[in-house]
Amino acid sequence: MKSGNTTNYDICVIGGGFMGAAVALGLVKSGVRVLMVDRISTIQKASKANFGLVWSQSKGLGNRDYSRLSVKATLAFKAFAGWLEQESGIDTELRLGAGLVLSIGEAELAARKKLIQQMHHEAEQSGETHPSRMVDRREVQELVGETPLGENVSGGSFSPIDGDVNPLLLLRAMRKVFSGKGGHFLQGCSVHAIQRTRGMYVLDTTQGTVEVPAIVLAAGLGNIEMATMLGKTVPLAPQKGQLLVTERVAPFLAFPMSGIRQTGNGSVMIGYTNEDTGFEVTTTVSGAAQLSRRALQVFPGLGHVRVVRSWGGLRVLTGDGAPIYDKIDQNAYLLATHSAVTLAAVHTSLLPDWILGGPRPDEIKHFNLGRFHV
Amino acid sequence: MFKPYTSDIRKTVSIDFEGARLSVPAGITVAAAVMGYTGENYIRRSPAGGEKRAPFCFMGVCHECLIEIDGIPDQQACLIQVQDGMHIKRQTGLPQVTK
Amino acid sequence: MKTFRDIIIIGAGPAGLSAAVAAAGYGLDVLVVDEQPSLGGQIYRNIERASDHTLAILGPDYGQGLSLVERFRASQAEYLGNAIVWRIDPNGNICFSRAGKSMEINAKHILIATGAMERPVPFKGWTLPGVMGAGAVDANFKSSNMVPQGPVVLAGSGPLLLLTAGHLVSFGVTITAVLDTTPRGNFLPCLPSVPKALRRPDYLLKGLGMIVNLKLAGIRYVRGVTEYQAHGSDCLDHVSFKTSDRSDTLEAGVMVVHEGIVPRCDLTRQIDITHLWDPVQRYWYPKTTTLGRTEMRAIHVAGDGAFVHGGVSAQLKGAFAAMDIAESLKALPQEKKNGVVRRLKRQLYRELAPRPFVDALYKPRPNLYRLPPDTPVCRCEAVTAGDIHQAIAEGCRDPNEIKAMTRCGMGQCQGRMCGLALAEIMSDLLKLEPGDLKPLNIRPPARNISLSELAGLSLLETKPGVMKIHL
Repeated sequence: MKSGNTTNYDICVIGGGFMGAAVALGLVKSGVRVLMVDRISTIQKASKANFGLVWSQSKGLGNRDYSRLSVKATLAFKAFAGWLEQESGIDTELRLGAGLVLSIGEAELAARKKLIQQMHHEAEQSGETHPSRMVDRREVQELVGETPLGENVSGGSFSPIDGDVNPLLLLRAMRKVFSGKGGHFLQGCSVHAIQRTRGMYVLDTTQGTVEVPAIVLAAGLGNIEMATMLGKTVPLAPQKGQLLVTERVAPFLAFPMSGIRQTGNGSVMIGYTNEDTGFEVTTTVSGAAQLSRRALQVFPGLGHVRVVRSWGGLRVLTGDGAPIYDKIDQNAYLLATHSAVTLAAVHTSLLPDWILGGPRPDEIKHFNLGRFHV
Repeated sequence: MFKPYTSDIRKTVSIDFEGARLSVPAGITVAAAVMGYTGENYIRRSPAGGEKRAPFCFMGVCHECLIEIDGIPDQQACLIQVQDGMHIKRQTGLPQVTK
Repeated sequence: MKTFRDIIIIGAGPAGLSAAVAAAGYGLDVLVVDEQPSLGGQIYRNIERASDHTLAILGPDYGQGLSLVERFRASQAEYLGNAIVWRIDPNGNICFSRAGKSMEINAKHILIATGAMERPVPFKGWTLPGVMGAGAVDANFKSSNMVPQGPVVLAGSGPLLLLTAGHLVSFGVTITAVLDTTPRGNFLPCLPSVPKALRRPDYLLKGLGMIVNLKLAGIRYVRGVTEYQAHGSDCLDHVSFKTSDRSDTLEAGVMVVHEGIVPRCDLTRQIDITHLWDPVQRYWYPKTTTLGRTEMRAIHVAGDGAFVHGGVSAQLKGAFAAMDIAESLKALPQEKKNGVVRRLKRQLYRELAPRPFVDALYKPRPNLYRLPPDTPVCRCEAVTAGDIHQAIAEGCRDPNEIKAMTRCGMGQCQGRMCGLALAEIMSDLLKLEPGDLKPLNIRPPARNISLSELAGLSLLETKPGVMKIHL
């Protein structure tokens, strides 16, 4: 990367996680010269600490646009992953066609039913349907198969379109295809300062200076700092989630549940807490104990299975839970969502033209910063 | 792979190794019992690739010696002494999610 | 059992036992927890049950542990064996697993004295049954009165390799050859350390003596070995090696490898203490003062787990840590502590005198981790050197990124066997030093704990529920 006056790039994407990589991929496909920068692992990397769900059934309560976008992305994921595999040789272990939010006890089931009914109602108001339905315990057992459920499992909500993917392989594939198509990916590159001079953005980074005519802020929670460099504040906040991962287990669960899924290599992921603890990601003993207890309430047969890893991650929460796609400066775009895995399938196709100066797509017209009255 | 250095005059205990009754000196580790008194040359099969593995460090670090003792899997055999009546079974596949 | 103590000492080796004796002597309430089924750590392993014959074979280096263990037993310190610590917190909480149950207890101070491990160096065939670390030989002899069935081939570098060969000779085990990889060029750079080392002629002569013994026993001793490999279809069958001018193949039933000793940093990394990189011996070690203090008020580290200096130094450092803790708990006046420390430091420096020489002589050879692509690096998850090279080629610049992309370090050993190799391979390819990299994250549980054990965990204080389903 050259420092000083010469520029090699048309646009710099700050952030190489699911959001950044998907958008950068779309941009490089459009033929522009893209630099994607990503800093060394710190605690603030949601991309490395998520569950891998491709999920629509509970997104967008009270927000039709968001629900619609999630469904669209979920339905587009098969083609997206297929294309990535073709281009990168990496199988992202995508599974679609069944996703369950499990309820334990009657109170949880009733609450879940109420939420799903509300989502159906809101969909119907727009003349649409919501792809989800409630299932009882018997149906859940049928879906699961042989492995017995805990006695307190009461049922849940089921989506025939949701599923999961291996998030690490997905990210790896996106980055690989990005580089393969001529994009430049710089890891270990942290942006300290952003300035505008003569219509260019000058980025001060740990690996030198970059001058580009346009930038995309896709740095997750790092966007808070990036936006400040441009004199703006954005309604983004962290929320901690703890997860447990077990050793490899013989295959027993062929589809994901919201708190428990079995990965391609057989290990079981168990999650997750929701904690407002600021920017720290420590795992707690009580968190581990609670997650374990819940997992055993779902599948008592998991008792002897060993936890090999646990971690905490920070969700990128926007003020209202729905994504933010907005212009934050003359040629600077800010993108943020806690659903960047699911939405990756549309980010690659939906956002680049708009970022390159085209009209704002209808699907995202309400996902602006103005709605927060900032 | 291992053999007793001197014939042991210590008392012995009776253990069950995969259905076979064995008499081994009291106080030895389960890892030593498997690698020295059973005639076997491996202690488990690797969960990732399925090939035979034997303990490497014998001191609790490498985790190659994971074995099922009295029905409880994934115990580090090099850290546990044999007890009279112990049932020892090697792990050759992935754990099953049981009842 | 009591859940609150003055000190919890993790590790019942020389550092831990020495600290326990001192701390109990100052009237503190001490608990020692250790994962082994017997006292003594590695060096004094199972010493309480050692026969006279065992003591005769292993000599005073082992036997000197008896008096320490006796003093420990005579002290008021409490001891829990078969206890695996899987989490520690800066506030003095620890979680440990014992007999299938886990509990959380607390102390005003924690002393981590978990010692060292052998440097894990991947090579082709190292995962074959029959290949083991040099420490395994003594461990099985001390714990279980067992010795390897020959023929044995030894390979690697360092005093422990020669010591192990000597023990095997004493056990009457057939040794086919000792393949010494110590680069011939190491000697000259060590010369500056020689004068200091000469203060300990006994130590140096012992080393020379080891080599002489081998030659007397008629064992083939090959120097300047540049690479070695284990072969076999599903178990070890033979070993091949190369020197600068020839190569050979040796029949082997057991292969004993050793490439030095490095601190076990599992718990110090789990708690996120700063670690420093030693460029000579090439390992990470926790940042501590001579008295074992860390940047965390309640955490001390002593013994080989702080820096690899051997058993006698460990005993002294354990005592230092105990005194430092006793002083902060007002059980030992500062004046008195300073006096004892001053006196013991003289002993420590005498003990440490030959170390710079030995550390330099046996520093890991360059290219130790320049591995052919099909070499398994992560034993647990079957990740090869080539997989790591590929991840670096795709842009990964951080060990934790490579772990995420390749699964290296995600298995049951939690990166203990591959973490160092991963850092060294990255450093080699990226022209960095491992000290410039952030080592693999280690998060609790620092050991594998079952879901039922975690679910039934006995906690010190129950927190309100934090669970909410997030979608």
